[in-house]
Amino acid sequence: MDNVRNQRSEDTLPGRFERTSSLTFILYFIALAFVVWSFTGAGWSFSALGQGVPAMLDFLSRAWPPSTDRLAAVGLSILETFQMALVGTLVGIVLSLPLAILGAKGLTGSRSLYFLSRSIVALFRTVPDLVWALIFVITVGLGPFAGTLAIMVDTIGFCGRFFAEAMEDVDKAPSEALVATGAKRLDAIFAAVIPAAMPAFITTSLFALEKATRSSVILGLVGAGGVGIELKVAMDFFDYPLAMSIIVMIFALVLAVERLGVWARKKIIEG
Amino acid sequence: MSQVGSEAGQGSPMSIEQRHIVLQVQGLSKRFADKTVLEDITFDIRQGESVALIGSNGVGKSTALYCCLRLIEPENGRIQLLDQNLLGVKAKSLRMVRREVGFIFQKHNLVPRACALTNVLHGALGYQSGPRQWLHCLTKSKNRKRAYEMLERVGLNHIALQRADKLSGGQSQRVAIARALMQNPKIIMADEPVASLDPIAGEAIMQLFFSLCKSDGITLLFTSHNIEHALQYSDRVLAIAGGKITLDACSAELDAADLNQQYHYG
Repeated sequence: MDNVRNQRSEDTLPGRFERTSSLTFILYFIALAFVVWSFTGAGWSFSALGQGVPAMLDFLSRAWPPSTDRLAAVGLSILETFQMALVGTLVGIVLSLPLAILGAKGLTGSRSLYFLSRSIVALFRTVPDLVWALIFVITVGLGPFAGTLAIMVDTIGFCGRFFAEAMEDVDKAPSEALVATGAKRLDAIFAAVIPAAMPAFITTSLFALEKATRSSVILGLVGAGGVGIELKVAMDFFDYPLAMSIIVMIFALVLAVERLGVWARKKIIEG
Repeated sequence: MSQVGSEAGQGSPMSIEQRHIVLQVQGLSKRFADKTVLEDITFDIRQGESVALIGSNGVGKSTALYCCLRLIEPENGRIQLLDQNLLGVKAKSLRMVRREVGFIFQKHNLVPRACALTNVLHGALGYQSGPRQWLHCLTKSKNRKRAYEMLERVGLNHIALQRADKLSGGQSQRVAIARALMQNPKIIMADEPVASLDPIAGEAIMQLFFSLCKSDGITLLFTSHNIEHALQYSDRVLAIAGGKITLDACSAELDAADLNQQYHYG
């Protein structure tokens, strides 16, 4: 009796893995082969990594202790870097809001505006910030304004998408209740949808500021203002102690912004 | 038919039959995919009347109510609400009608992160648009004071600045009633206003709701699962079964046990 039951269970027991078709199996194999090949294409080399360790130690020994000679000048550059990040992010957040409203499915009811807005946001997001910085250096000249504009465009791409998705995800019932009172659609969006999406907006905005702070360091390498150019010059002139002091200050700035973000998120969202 | 007070703005008592029709529904039908929910629904409601719409689960009570304010688009029929043919009007005219109709949802539908006072203020969005009406701290003192008075009427002025998501179910529904009153409505439609509340809170809310509507001369149309509530708080009962109106009778002439058997447990 038990044998019969065991045999029946084995017959009906589902397999551990779902059986895939031959085509799916081939596609999996091709994907795996491409990943393996990519390691070669990327120049991945454990031997080079091993050989690089002494060079890294040599750099660290020559860079330590960090130089304090140009501390005030570097401090001002760090401040300028943060100001670029802050202004670029703030302006980007403000400009991303209308695009996000138009780009949130079902919020405005216009399909053409939805596609237009989504396309603009996608363009801003997919082109890297360094490329935007190069474009703005040509457009408005060298200096922090070019970097600020690059950060602004990058923030619009980032926040425009996540703000729109946050608004799509909120409970629609409160805004429907306002529409039932005779409110205009725009009033319902600002009075009900945006307050409901606010926690997501705040989280996204703080991430955008953290991201912009990191980006603003790099943008200096192409002449778009900030501390990046100081770092490049220090490295080019083999002034490693100065480069180390800049790296330490960048680390402190990014860490401070991240900690501030965590604190602000907790304070604002949890009330 | 019962006599309920005097017509707003007039001194002499008037029977319900003599009053103006504020909502007239004719031949209303609605389908969802291949399922016909409402078929040829016809009824009318006169000023100051309180009408309960009953029926078993999924029979289309809420759909009928939503169609009356075009929150759901009906397929066919005619809805004459406050002297406007609702199916023929443009968006702006529809908003003009809606602002004179309070709608109480089953789950209050308040803006969760806004305070009670702001939620009540939102009731006036149909009259005043723009940023000053989005938050209580931005609005005119006159509006703020009126919103506070509405909260006072539902007994919640002491928690005016408390966030809606921190309120109990009963408190939230009171705020929703205050929001509807803020509209200065001629008619209030309520979709099972106490269905998500416990019996004691539900009873208190129904009493408050009914007394406020009566004192302001507001016409009331509400759906309910609770036959006792329907009979106690209405002048007239309409019942829906099989997508049609199968009962239209004065509440005083109806028996709760019979209705329970016929429309809920029968």
